[in-house]
Amino acid sequence: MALDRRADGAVGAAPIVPAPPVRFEGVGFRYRGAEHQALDGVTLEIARGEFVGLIGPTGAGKSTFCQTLNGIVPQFHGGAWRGTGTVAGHDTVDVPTALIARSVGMVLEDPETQLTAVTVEAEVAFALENQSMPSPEIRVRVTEALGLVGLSGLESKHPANLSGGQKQRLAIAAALALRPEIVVLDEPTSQLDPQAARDVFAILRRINRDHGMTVVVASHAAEELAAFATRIVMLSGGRVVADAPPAEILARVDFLAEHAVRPPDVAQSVAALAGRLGTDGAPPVTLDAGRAWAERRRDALAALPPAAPPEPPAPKEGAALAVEGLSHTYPDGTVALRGVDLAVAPGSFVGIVGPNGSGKSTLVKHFLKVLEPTSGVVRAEGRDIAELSVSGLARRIGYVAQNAHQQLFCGSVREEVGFALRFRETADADAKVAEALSVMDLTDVADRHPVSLSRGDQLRTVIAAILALDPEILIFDEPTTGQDWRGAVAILEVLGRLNRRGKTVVLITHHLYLLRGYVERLVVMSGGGVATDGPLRDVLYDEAAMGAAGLAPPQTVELSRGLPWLDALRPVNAADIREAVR
Amino acid sequence: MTATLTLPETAQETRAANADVRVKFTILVVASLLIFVWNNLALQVALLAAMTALTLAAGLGWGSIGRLLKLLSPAFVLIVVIQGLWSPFGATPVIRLPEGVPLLGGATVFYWEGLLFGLVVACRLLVPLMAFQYLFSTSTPNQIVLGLVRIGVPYKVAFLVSTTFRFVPLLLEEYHAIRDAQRLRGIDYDRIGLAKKLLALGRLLVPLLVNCLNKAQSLEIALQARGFTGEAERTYLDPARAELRAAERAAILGVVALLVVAVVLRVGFGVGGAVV
Repeated sequence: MALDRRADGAVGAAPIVPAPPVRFEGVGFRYRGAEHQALDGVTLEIARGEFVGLIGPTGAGKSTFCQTLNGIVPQFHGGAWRGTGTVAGHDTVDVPTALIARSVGMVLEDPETQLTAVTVEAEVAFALENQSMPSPEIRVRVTEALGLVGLSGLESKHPANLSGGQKQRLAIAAALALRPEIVVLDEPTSQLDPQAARDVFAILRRINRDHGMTVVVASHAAEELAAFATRIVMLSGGRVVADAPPAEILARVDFLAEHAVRPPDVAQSVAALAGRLGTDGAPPVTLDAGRAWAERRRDALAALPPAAPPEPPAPKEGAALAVEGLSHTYPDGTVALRGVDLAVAPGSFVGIVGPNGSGKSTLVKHFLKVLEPTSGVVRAEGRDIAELSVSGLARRIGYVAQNAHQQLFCGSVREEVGFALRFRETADADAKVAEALSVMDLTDVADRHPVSLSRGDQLRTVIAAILALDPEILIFDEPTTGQDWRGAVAILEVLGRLNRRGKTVVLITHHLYLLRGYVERLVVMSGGGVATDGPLRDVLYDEAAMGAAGLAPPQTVELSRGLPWLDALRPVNAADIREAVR
Repeated sequence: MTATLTLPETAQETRAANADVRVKFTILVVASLLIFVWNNLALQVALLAAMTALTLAAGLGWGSIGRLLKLLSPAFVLIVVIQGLWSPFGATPVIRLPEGVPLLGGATVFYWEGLLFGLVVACRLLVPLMAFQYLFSTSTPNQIVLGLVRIGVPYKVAFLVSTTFRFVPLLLEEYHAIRDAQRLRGIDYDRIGLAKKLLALGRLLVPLLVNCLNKAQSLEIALQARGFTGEAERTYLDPARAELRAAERAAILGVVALLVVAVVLRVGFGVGGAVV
């Protein structure tokens, strides 16, 4: 792609010394009605061709910072602004967003709401049309941008018929068509499966390395940022708390953890090993560097006292939930499940993983009759659920759907938790509500409006509402999506606690690095069937099965293969290593 | 319902389907006016026949007409029955209660004139919906926006119209997701009474509204980020033909002439004023 970028936005005027694309001086911003500063004294410059990873916990100001780069903050959101921001030669307060948008392409988190057209090519053309570009030039740019993101040939498709990953790549194409100086992406991969997320980062690396485009990406994906970014800016409480190359910042494992930012898995594991091996220096932050680090220490590793993985918990017997020969074909002809057989033992904690479209959600939706089997049988506690009513099933099985936090419909947390009970005129409803609130630590916020809570608290409200019905089986569909590290770990803690209270827990997730210590059995789905099923550690170390399902195991697994001591320990994350070297 | 609202069903490449959006608009407006100029059932039926022919010529098929009929069938039955029972023009009885019935014996309960007028009202519902379906099922939002702008509608308003149609499926999806969430709490819509059903449905509105407002805000941000200003000064990936073809001009003139003639005949000579 020929990038005829202009430093000052003026046609033909070649500046002698190109100004940096981004220059912020003392930028502060507080949203109208907010108590805290979203940004607080941010001073930084971003040079041409940099690949900047923006990290920080939820509420650190990452999204706000992204939106200042094209003037949406403060022009669109009201609030108190101070300092000066200059992007591609434009003052971000005075120059209208529509004009800044010619130099700054933007991609948002949710692929659904940022698509505006009904064909792929019209979506890409939209920003160009807004600039009154001649139609033949638009055609050229659309072809070029779709080629860059690998969507050529899909020009006349409806965006609604694309996969989540394709939608996000389309949003990137729409941003690239402008041939902007900078592309800004706000959590572009949080809604995608791991493979689609890797594709997005590969595109970003290509436009950055091959085309010299400046990339700014806010993300929780520590491993990808370590591999691709040239610089990491860490925000916390609206301030820049660290700004350096990834090898420097992402290696500071304890510092990141303090700020609720997840360090790359490999850095955590190497840091855990380094103490035992008496090695100084920062741990490597990419898998390749981690492997090289460990290879150099083969002898030291071999000299460690032998270690073995902890005994897996004994497999539990029986079937709280079971499907036999379950197949499901959607009305449009998509075959989502092909003769699945699976039994979940009472009191167990089972993880279900697999790429998008592998049938995970379709499978669990059968347990509550949200979907009916095309063929096969679904059993709950031994009974064919075809004989059970929806309300009868809800007493046995609690199901927390994807984005459940958006589906709260009452005026207070207490009312929400008691909603179904009052509907059924249950006798001791108040006591059950109080207990569910207490189990989920929601007693303090019981009288607040659910909409006013944080995303994590909203999810806990949904869980409490389901616990009030006292089901023995709980199913969670990607509850950690969009959460920062602390939030995600807190959710797993809640699930673990419920499991220890005797509940059967089924968890669908893409976050393999979260599962250790909670999930005992892992089911890998692929192409509408069960690809692999076994104890967590065995499945994560089954290279062939994981690869066939398009899944990458946590970096610690890849680090450990073929190395002395680690090979025998078979750690799945740094915690295994820390326990073994203690 | 979604099928008629999510637009691009334009697989058929027919002349009627490819006509300029301005022709389709003229037909929609004129058809929507003619149904009120005429009270005459024969004229209404002729108009309905013309719209049916147009729908078929545009390649939309009998299925699309069937869907509209199904959607409107409860309204049709209601209108015809009500008009038949209580028509102010009632003169010719269709059903008369037997003399032996106490109090009401011999009274007329269903009038021929009412029945016919009911059919006229049914045509008045069906004709504009068919014209609406013809316009929206055979044009992309881009063409509709461009067409609206060319007949003088401000770009922002035209864009709003096309975005509204994009939002309808999103809204439906959201509605189903929240209803599923209620089901998952054990609220069985098929088994609860009407009062509880209404209560549960009422509860849907809050998250539906909040989620839609959030989505609208994200969309607004996405639009701003793509440099959307709402100015009419813009270009198009596929600029529809700026000039109307001769046949299209003739179609617009003919359709408008039909309206003028119908109005003159009705006002001057009362043609089409009587139901029969």
